[in-house]
Amino acid sequence: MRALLRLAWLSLANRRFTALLTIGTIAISVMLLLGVERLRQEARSSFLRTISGTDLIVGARANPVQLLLYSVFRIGDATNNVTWPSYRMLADDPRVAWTIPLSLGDSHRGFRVLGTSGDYFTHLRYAGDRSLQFAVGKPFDDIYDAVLGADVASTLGYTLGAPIVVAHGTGARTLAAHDDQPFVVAGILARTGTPVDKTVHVSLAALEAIHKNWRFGTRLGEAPSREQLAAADLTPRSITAFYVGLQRKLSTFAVQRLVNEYRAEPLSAILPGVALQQLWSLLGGVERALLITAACVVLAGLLGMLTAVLATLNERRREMAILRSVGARPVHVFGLLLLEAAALTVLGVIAGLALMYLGLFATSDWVETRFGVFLSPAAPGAAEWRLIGIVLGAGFAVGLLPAWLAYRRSVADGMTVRT
Amino acid sequence: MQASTTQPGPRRVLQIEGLRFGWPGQAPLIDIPHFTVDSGERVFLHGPSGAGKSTLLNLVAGTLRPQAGGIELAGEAITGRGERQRDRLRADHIGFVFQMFNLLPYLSVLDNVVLPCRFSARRRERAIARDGTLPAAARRLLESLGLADADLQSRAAAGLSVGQQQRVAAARALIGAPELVMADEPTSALDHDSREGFLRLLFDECAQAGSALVFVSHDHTLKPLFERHLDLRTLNRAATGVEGPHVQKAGA
Repeated sequence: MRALLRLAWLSLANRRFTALLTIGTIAISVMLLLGVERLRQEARSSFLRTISGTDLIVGARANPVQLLLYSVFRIGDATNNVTWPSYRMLADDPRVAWTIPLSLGDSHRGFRVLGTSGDYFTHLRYAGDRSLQFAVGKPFDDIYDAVLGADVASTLGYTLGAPIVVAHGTGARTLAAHDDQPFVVAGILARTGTPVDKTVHVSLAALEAIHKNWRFGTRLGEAPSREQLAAADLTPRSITAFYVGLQRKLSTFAVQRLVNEYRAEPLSAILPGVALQQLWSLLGGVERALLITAACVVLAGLLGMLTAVLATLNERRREMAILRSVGARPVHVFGLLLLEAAALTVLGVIAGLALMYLGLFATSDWVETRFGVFLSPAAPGAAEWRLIGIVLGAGFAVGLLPAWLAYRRSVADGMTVRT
Repeated sequence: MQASTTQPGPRRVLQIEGLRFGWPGQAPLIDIPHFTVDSGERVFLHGPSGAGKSTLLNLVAGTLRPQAGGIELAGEAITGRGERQRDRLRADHIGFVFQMFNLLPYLSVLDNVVLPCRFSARRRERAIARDGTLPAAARRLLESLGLADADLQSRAAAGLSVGQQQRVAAARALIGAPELVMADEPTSALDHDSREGFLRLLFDECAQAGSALVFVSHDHTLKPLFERHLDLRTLNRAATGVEGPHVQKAGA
């Protein structure tokens, strides 16, 4: 066996140009496969960690995924709101530790404006136990303060103190602007890799204020002055949804049932983790397609190896005859060719792994700032080892064909090459 | 059929009795009633093309199976045995030298010489018993065949001249002292002057190792160097164009 391994190695070294090309082909395909797998996993885990620490999300009765989409991802709109008394009723439940009210509907140059409370900055968690950090500035304090997500600030080039005009509705260009009442940037959040980065945060009271004297999407009269606001009651009549943190996890289902069976208005309470899983399984087709594509590239790489090994069979008949004459058995000839295919596959996989890690080190910073997905250069996980195992197995399986052909020929040829 | 005789004196290295072979549906290629080689013998087998030369080699090597008859190698029958055992008997008892392209081009000269010991435990043990290590055994043989240069020994075989390659092939056939060395036109690629030199070296080393030599060639000029010569066309009754019912044994 050791002698055969040595023979296979030297034989490959003798044809090192073809061998290196073959290894390179396999390496690139393996890098692609493992890279896609890594990206897939990281994207998934970063997706599932979009929101954490929140036990329930409550909104108007809707499909859990839809509720998740607008309350967490700021995609789409709520069909209905939650009235303020209902919100207060639930927020004051003794089992509830904290709530974060969310009010959506306005936008600023394509970014959603979220009306919320100061609790947003203290209670919201993502990626396990990470809380929101301020890159600069502080939470909103004055009524017309705004806190920007990292993407909003970097895309629009805003710094502290910049004025912001909030548009009514969510279109990127809308004529109905609250231009008589600009906001001022009071804080900019550090990047989270979650939809928070793409959100403009203002207080609920401010949203109420800029909508004073608005009805049915158009302005009626002047915007209220600061003096008028100070006197006015800026408690909203309704909000879009709210996050709930409970005193004890144990009461999750009891509170959920309470919300779902709430008589005064139709509400839904969802478990964010479960809804995230559901949403991901909807998106899962794309990642699976990517993985299948990468797998096909690996197959192409292995077929390239098959071609390279098969192409040598004819010119190596004499080599096999020599081996037979010095005592090699047809099984040895079989083993020699199988070992060559195996060596090419193993080296290709190793080189592919190396390429992938090189790629990870080179691009992980860029990917994180650009897409908010952290590509950890960690050792291969179980799923990756499984893929590696499959590639190796496939490589050996492909190697069986030339090995078998050489075996057959070697039996027929014996020590003399018949042509 | 297997007349396993225990003989005094020189041991029987190769014994062929009533050997017949032919591809299915074709005229027989081999029909050898009787042929033996004893240890230490040097046999010149004159065999032009069509005489069944390579078929006979493959039969003795066990890479072909005869339809009838028996072959014994160093007292062990190879006919009637499984493929695995025939391969082992070949590896243990026969060293081959061919016309050309004897060496694996990607192995070093030394590795080429040692190659049979990778497949035969018996020859490996014999080589080590004699010279201590396999490389030492290979170096001793290469030296006596005029390839003492250490630099040359570690070079890839592909870089050698044809004459050098044939000497390396001879060293390989002789390592581990197999009972029988079968040479198939080993000198035809050499120029006339180096043929005799090569043969003398081969004779010396065969004598050293105690191996019998069966030398198959169509080159009559070499015949006088051998103590025993016979014509494959008379030995093999199936040889094309020849009907020789009798076995000819040329004494020395």
